[in-house]
Amino acid sequence: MNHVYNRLTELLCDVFEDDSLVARPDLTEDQVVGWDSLAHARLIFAVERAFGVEFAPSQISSFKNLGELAELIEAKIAKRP
Amino acid sequence: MNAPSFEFLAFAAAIALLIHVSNAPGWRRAILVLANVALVLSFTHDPKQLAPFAVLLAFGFVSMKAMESYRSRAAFIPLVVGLLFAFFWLKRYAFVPHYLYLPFTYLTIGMSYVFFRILHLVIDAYHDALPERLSIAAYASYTLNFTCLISGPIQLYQDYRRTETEEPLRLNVELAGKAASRIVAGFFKVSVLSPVLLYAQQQCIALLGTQLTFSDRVVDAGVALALFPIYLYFNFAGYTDFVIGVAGFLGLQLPENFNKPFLAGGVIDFWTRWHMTLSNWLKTYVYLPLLLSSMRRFPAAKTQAYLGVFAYFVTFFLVGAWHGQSAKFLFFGLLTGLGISVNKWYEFVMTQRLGRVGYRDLGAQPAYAALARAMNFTWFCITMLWFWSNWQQLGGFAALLGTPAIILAILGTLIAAVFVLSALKSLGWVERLNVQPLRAAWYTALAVITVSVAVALNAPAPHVVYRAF
Repeated sequence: MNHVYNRLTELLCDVFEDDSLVARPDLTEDQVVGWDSLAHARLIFAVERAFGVEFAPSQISSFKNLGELAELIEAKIAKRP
Repeated sequence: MNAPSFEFLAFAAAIALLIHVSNAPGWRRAILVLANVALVLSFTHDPKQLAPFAVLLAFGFVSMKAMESYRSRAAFIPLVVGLLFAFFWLKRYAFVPHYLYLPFTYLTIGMSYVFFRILHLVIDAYHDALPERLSIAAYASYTLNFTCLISGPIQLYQDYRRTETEEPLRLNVELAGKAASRIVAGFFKVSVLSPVLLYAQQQCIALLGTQLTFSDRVVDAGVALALFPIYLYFNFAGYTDFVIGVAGFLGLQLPENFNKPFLAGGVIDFWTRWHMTLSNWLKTYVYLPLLLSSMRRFPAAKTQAYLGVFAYFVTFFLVGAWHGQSAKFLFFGLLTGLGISVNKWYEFVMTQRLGRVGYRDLGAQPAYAALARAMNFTWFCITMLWFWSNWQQLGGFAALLGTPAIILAILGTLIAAVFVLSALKSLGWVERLNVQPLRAAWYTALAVITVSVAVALNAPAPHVVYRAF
């Protein structure tokens, strides 16, 4: 799981152009300046490319914090053949 | 059966008594399915009038089952296209050739809201994102949920299932009190407040044709412009309050549909506060997939802001166009899409200039925020012209008023909105007052007024505008 969070930290810093961001399970949209729906899509796009996974539409908008996103990524990676 | 109505309330009370006989999930689901069927049959018993709706539901169920079992892209796209066509055809959208329309009247109440639920199930089944394989009972319980069949709100199955069978809300004094308050507030908004506002707006329109002075015409047009969105808000938000309260007595939690929309600081913010479940549905199933697929095709970071503006335009054009079957709603959709795209573009430019934190701080400046709120409200009032009137009527108003009066009416609405909405914003502390006896007295007074008006008028509650969509 640490690997997922480390990679998510890199992606967050890149998408939001803010090197102080650190991925942690309880991080939510409200805590990051500029996390709007376009930034959300950019983050998901970056996550899909970085981890080689693809999300269902309802999964993209359903996670409430980064912890839920990380769990989803783990589950997708585990399901891969 | 209309909602809100005393008949609907009595029906829901009977269902609430039955559903609490047992906590077994099977019992709850069975009662909910029976209640759904009973509500549908209250509109018509004629099998011919029920058949098109039943065929749409059956088509949806078969499509979902096919996707659960096969998840084939080759079948997914034709099924989604087929469902879209079936919906547009049955709802008689203007762009469907008229000779294809079914030559008889049939039930369409709630069809839009049921369609959104069906499409969500089929898409999520294809992506293996449903929490379970749905039985026909689960499908009927969810898609026809009687508490929100008529005009939503639109809830995803994952959220519906949680309080339908997994963890129903525990009905205690606190929940019953909150649910009853929502029912009373909703009934009051739909039956008392919104008809008064509509009457006032119609009087303003009627007065336009009389011999008014220039300044009276300006004021009259401005008031007519501003009153319709306020009427629509109380009409639809009142219905939503009512059904959320009714669902609470059944242990069901429905999503909120409104969050003080006229206090929004821009068009994008507005659509996260007005008919929220429709906006969220389209954000999930249109905006994000469209934007992501565009990003996959054009991955350069520089293009992403343009793609975002484009995806916003398409999504909110659909939001507007969904509101009606005739061509004027396509124009309403164009204006809605245009407003939100310009807002997104402005956000992008300002963020480039001021930085994310600088732009956020600008939005927090009271004068800037007041102007932004008023501009959003005035823009919504203008787009609503194509909602409550048509091109011919608009031509008539324009001829009566003349260009200077139209411009001054719009400016007057904007200036009034700056002050009125700022005053409303500053009243937030009243809402935070939680004095129980005051709340009880307030809702008792609303209930007495609502019942008195209903008895005095001896007429059913007015229809909810969104029932037609």
